Amino acid sequence: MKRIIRSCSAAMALGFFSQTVAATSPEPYANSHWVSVHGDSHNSDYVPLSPSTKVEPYWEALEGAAIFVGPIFDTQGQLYVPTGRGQGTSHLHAFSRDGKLLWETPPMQSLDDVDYGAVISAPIIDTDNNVYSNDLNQLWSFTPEGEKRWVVNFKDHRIDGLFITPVFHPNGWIGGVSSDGKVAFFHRDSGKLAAPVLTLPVSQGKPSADLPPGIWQGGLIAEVFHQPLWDILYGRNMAVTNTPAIHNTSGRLFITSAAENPEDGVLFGIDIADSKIKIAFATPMGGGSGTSPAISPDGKLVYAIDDHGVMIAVDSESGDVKWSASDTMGQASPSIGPDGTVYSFNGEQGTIVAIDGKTGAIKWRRDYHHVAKEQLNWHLLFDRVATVDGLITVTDTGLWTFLDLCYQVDLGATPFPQPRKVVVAQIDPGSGEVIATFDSRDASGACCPGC
Amino acid sequence: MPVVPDADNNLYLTLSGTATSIFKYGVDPQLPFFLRSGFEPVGGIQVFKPVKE
Repeated sequence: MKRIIRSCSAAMALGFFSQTVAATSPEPYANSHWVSVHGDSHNSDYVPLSPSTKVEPYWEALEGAAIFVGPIFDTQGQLYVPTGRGQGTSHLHAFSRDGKLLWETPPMQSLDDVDYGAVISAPIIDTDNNVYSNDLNQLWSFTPEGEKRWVVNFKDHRIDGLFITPVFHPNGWIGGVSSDGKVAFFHRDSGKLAAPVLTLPVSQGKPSADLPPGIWQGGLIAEVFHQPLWDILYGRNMAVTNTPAIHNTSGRLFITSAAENPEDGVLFGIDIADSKIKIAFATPMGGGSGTSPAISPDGKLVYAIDDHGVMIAVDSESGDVKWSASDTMGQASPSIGPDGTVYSFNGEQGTIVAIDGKTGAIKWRRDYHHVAKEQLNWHLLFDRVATVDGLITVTDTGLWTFLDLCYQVDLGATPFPQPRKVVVAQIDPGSGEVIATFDSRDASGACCPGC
Repeated sequence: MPVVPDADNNLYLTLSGTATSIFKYGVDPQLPFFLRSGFEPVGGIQVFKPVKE
């Protein structure tokens, strides 16, 4: 079942594009290089490819729609992207690699259709290239041509939340952990419930945070979904706001959650075997729902970070905490290189940190304000700063993320970084130094300047 | 949110417009025009391909 890192020419049977396989994703994940929201089932955000910044614009689509997950690729050259503009618009889109729109779900008329909740859930694709996607209240399966195979109504199983992203178990089931703390798996061929739903001992966590004024106006996201989406992005008012990691050999599922005490967090290890879903361990961690957990390349450790930037490394078998490190930031799932180095960031501080995955020792930590100083004009009143505004992708040619280049506007009670330019940065994983950048037309992440 | 490459070394950027919309619609209107960011949140997916040398 375990896949090894490999590349092959696919000109024979798969089409006229080369194919690389995600580092750690057991079947039934498609034989593709980016198969879930964090690239693979370990949530590593690592892909064994070697891109560079010597690029030029190729194609663009879906202007006017906010997108929060990277494209998911099948084995036939198609990619899938979810959006969430709301009633009257489609929310799941299939493209060819040269940018041709192949199909999209019918425009939403009601919550019985593929609704705006799809925007926060990466679709996943199986070995037959069937597509699985969820929204606010349903889990859908489509053929590669866009025909509906089946749909599961979560309410029928007393699930009152949504999967942030579904996952495949190595036994072939499709499922996930809902935002109200239910673990549910279904048969891939029929959508029928595969095992009794497990209810986790959790709470709703910390209360909602106020929406920043102006956010996602102009139709980027359905207005009714602004507050829930903000809560998901910042881990508020829901038990689970993260994507599970699936161990590529044991199949154990790991998920962070708000604990029964809303001020505390917990990392669950969950086993799915013999048609049963059961808790293997529940390791306490710091407050908040934490980041999506990520598994080390050797499968021995699981990493998660709490609201206060405390990272824990937990034995994936016993649940014992092997080390913890403070001030590791953590506004998103840790990214993990093939050598086991863990990368994390603090968006508004504009800082990335590299951590030895075995010991928790910090290898380097640095900010990128010099990029703003190099690329923005000097200003009489305001300093120039950079914020990190996107997940960190690890490749064989470096780390990749978005930097918002800003003026530090100091007019009110609190200075805030005002974005003037967005760049994609390629960063040396050994030192943290910027190798090169190129311009992006908009911001990518959920960084909230001044919030 | 992540920068995603493919095996042809194309780079896929998925754009949320979060920080830029906060300024365009929330903060900038309160600022004098000469201090506004002028950044239009557009979202969408933007794909880059390697430059042939």
